[in-house]
Amino acid sequence: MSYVDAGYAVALGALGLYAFSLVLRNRRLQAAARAWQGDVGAGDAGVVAPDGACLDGDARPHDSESAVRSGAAALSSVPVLQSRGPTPARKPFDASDAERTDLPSAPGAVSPGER
Amino acid sequence: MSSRMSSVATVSGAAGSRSLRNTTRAIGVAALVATVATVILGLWVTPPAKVQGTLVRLLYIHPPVAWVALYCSFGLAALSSFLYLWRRTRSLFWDRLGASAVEVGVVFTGLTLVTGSLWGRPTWGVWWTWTARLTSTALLFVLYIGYMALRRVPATQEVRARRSAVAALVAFVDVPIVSFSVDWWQTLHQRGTVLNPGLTLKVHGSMAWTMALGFVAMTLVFAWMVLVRYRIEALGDVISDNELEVSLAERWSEAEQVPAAGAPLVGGERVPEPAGSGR
Repeated sequence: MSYVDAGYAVALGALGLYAFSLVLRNRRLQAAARAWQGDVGAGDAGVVAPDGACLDGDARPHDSESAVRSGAAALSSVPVLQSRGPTPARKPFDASDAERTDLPSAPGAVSPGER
Repeated sequence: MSSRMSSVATVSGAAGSRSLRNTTRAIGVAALVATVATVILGLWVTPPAKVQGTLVRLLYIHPPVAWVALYCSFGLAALSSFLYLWRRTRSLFWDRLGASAVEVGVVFTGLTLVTGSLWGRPTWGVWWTWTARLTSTALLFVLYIGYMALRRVPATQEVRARRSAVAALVAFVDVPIVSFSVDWWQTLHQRGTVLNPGLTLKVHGSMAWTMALGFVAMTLVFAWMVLVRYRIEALGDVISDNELEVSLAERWSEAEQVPAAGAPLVGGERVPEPAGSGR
């Protein structure tokens, strides 16, 4: 193989690989986005994307748990999101968390001053 | 529900409108056709040069790749960063566009170095030499990899965007140094074939047309890649925002199920206080 052939092969091969990776990442993220949208769209009839794009054909139950599961499953295969580190496991809600953080008080929770 | 509805709009907005997707597809097809035409003309149609022989065929790939790396990618990144930092035009759109341009630019800069090295070995006798043009280009490559690493540092979107914009502008200082290095210093690298001080074209005939086509092809490839990369960046942001929203919503619903912390225990279970008890 000559230097010229090697130059063309490296340049075109690398660009092709990068383009393929872009298409793959785009598709995975769109699938993840559809997982979210499918959940919202099934429960909220009439919610249409502003561009009128077809979001997802199959209806899913309006259930936040299913949205989390389907969204998380789709997201777990997305490299760009994997690079941000694993999602920490959710711990059971502790009402005192709302007092320790700057989250607004949950309904029915007791604020420190009211105790 | 309104926040969820706004999420729907944002996700579809990030995915891009239909016309934008059609434009992206058209640019992609045009880029593919132009690249194939460049390769056919460059490898089989154009004649070999008197001095360099067939090695001149690298002229149709190396300068166009370098053009995209230096001026298109990092020029767009610098412009986007400036527009983000300027208060009147501040928008995450510019931040995402800059990030997309830099990633594509890093790929093209890497290819510039590799194809240049493949051209340098038979003409200069070495794969690499620490002359001004090569060294400043390698520095540019490292600077923009640093930019990409900086974007991975955990921070809020605004903080990340601001520090990335500053980093992109600082790194851009190296671009004119790379460009003028062959004029300012004596280097092994030849002077610009197109972008020389007198703007005189050093190639003619079919070689000039093929090189021009190479520039068009690589610019189209760049445009397509930036459009797709931008969509990835926007979708990633929206999805991670939605994930946060759902996590918060889940915690709220758990909070509604758990009785108040101070409620009295009856038979091992907390009894919620009656409504209107002052809480």
